[in-house]
Amino acid sequence: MSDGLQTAIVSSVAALRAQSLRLRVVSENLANANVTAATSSGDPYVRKTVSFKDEIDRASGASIVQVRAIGRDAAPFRIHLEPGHPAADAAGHVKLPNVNPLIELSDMREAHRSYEASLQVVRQSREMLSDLVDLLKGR
Amino acid sequence: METASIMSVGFERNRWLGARVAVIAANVANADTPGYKARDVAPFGETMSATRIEQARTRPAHLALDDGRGRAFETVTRPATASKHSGNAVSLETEMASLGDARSEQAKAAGILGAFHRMLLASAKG
Repeated sequence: MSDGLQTAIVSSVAALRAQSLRLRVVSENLANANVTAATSSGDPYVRKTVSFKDEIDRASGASIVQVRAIGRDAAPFRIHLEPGHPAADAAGHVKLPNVNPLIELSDMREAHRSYEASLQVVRQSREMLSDLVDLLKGR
Repeated sequence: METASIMSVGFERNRWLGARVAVIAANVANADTPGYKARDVAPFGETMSATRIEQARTRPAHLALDDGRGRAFETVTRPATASKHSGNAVSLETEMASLGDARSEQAKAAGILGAFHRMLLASAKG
């Protein structure tokens, strides 16, 4: 009887794991938002992206969300004029990472929202399970 | 109606609600999966009135199809609301509303089962 509810919890836990990995990638991007190359020939930090895919867990039959891949953003780097910088080219331009803090913060909000929704599903499923267990109490 | 039959309807109802919560959990989990379409289980009334085809068993050794208990409920794709750029069509608000709905429906079903259980106990005690 509680099979469906247990499946729900398995799905939600997979979602929590996926969303926290997404949050980790967001924090990596933000932490490295100003990391340049050491020399003028090198590239700065490249923004990482996360994509999800749906999978069926064979053991429980639950739909579990998995991280498809951690990709690299192909957007162009920001160019900054700073002739004294070690990574500056002949014209004095420095390549800065293609990280936009505004995008990262909105991504973080969305991860938080999805995380909260999955957490709510776990909470409700647990309440429903304990409702069923309460049936055993002879009143 | 026999009490046992009411118990069995209550059992099916709880099983259906469990399956529904599992589908909602999958929808919420895939709220950011590209190309994912929200699903739902077929309505309870439909699953209760659906006819099942059974094979005749002329010998006890013949394999029986399952008796309906424990069979999986059919899932349907939910009518798409506004889909995102990634092709994902999950609305967290709709899912949360359905979840709350399932929660209160289950409380109701469990309450009714509990009431009948108490009735049975009262008659057994005399």
